[in-house]
Amino acid sequence: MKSTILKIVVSIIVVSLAAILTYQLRESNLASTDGSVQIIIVDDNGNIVFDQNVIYMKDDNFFDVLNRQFDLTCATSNYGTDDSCTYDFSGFAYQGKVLLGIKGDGFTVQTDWSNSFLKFETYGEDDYHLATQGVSNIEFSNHDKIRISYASVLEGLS
Amino acid sequence: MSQKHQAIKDASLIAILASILFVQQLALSFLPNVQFTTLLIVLYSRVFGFKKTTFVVILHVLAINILSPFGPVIPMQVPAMVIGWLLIPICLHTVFKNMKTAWALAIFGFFFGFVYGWLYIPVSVWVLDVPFLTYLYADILFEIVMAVSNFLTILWLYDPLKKLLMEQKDRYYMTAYEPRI
Repeated sequence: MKSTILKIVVSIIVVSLAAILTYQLRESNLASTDGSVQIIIVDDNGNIVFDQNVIYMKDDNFFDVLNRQFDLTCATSNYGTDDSCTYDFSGFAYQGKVLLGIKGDGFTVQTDWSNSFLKFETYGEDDYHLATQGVSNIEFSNHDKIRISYASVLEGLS
Repeated sequence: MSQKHQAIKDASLIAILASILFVQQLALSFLPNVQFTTLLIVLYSRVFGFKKTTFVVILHVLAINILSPFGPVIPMQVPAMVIGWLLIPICLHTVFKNMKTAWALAIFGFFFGFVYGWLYIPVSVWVLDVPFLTYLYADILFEIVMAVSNFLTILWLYDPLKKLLMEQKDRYYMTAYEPRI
């Protein structure tokens, strides 16, 4: 009996601590000021189809920045295409959109999730590095450089 | 029981244990890192020994990467997965061989949750070119969930499941079929 009570107490403490830590570590990466980021878009042939500074506003996330500048295609809950970008993926550690396509003046980069996807890379330390968050949570600040490229699933990330 | 029949029984048992591992992991895959895999491998290590558990782990990794509807991990991450799950029987038969209580094993499972996550860092950093600190920070939420899941499942389920498995194991090996000559 004493052992069961101890187990219950310890279990509650462990779950509570984990919940508090998880809540504290969740980040939304919203812009803290107005500014601009350099966005580079690479199509399925490896050509740079867009390379410009794009303005963002305070409290934008990276998806908002793209959405203001381009026509976006997002994923639905079963990874179909959603031109209205209304569906939000959400879980205990993430919340946001999955981006499948970007359309701008004179270019369209479209992926289908099964065979191709959009690869997001941030520039730092003299090289591009794969983003570790989804499009809605990518960290950015003034004058950052972010590259979005078409990537084939079969060819991998390199 | 002849050696041949013993081998057939062992092979069947390994297949059943691997199936249980595979099915529960798939069934719980909608909850990231919440699973009974650590609990089951700890149990298998304690009840069935190092050799059988090693075979079960290898079968499990193959099954997850070949049959899972969610697809395999990238091929370069497979060694990390094998080493990760094999660490449990290796540790429990070497440095932690005297660790027998549910409390001690639950604490082991808690720390294993973090170690398992860290095993995927080398390939992510050196091959996928993800910055080390960014990866570590992004993964820590998932490590916490796995650590807590391991701790709770082992703390609450290790003793009753061990008792059940021991009884089933005794029955399984006792009712051997002896062919008439």
